[in-house]
Amino acid sequence: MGKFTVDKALIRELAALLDETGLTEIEVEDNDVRIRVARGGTVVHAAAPAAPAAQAATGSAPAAAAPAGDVVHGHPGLVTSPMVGTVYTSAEPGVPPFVRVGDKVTAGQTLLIIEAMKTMNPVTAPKVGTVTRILISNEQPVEYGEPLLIIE
Amino acid sequence: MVHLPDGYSIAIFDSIDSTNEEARRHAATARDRTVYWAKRQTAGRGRRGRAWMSEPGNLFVSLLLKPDCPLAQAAQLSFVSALVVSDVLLKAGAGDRVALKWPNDVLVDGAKICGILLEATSTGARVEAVVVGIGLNIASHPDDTPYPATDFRHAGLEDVDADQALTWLLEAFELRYAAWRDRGFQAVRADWLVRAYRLGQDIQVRLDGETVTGRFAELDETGALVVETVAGTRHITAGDVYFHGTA
Repeated sequence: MGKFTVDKALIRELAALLDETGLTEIEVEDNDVRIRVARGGTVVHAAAPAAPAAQAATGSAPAAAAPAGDVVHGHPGLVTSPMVGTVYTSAEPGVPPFVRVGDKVTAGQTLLIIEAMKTMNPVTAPKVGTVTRILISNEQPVEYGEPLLIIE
Repeated sequence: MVHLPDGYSIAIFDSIDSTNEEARRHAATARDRTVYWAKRQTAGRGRRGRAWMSEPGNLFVSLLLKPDCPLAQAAQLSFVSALVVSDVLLKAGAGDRVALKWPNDVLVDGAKICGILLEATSTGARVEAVVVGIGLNIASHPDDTPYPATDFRHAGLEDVDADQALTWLLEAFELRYAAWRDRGFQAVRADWLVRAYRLGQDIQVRLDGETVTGRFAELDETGALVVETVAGTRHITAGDVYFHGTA
């Protein structure tokens, strides 16, 4: 990993922006340094180019590979996790996923299941639209507020 | 004959695909505390599509609940349900042979006697309904499971039929459910810990691509399993717990 200096001023600025906007996480990239500032006191530095952490849907679903530093936060069609748990993209192993990129969905349709304490919780579509990005993979652990997918 | 606590209603089937499926089909319209009971199931299922053996003589029941809470809190009903089943087992004479394994396995002599599957339906981040499916081994248990299993008869518990077990279960459920709605998770946590299997001992938790090994320290205020490892304390919300030398 290459040597880089930590830009404290930039982190302070991002942290202030986090408070100001009410977002849970901000990620920026400048040449070879990527900085993510998230609520809960987590500050992550990573040398770019790094594979975005949470990509590639399961099965034959085409993964919408996001360019590093792409901002999904604040996207009007972003669906975030209502809870901490483990994501399942299909009702059970071996069956097709609930949704794939390009699928049209109706409001209330099940998009994913999140399991916590052996309780299965569906995440449903808040509106009619098309699934344009799937940001998690099957059986991935997720935090509260983590981006799951985008419906446009 | 099943005796229902006040506020409960019941639908009884000789045979049905799955009581959880039936409850889910009525999730939008049914009232809080509607009970779906079948004498046998043709497509009984457990977590992640695993089949649940549904021989007559055992209890297959689903409770449809409308707790009006955020999704994240509905998972606490997992602990409520496990406690309720342990209450039934205590009534049947199991005494200190009963133990609870995180989050909602109920054991007698270290063997699984019950399966609990919770499925929520939601509108946004609010819960519309939570279906609590309980399969209780009374007359028989499967012998081809990857973990030890048992049933009332095999364990020498009181000789009850499914009707009697369900009456006890609903009676216990109403007490625990009311306490949870009034006082939240703190009404559940202490009782669960008293009956916890191997609290304070070394455990392994298998997570997605990782196994955490450490001491089972406690349950935190959200229900997460607290494990003290050499690298620090971990709070775990999903995973399968293993003890050395047992399931």
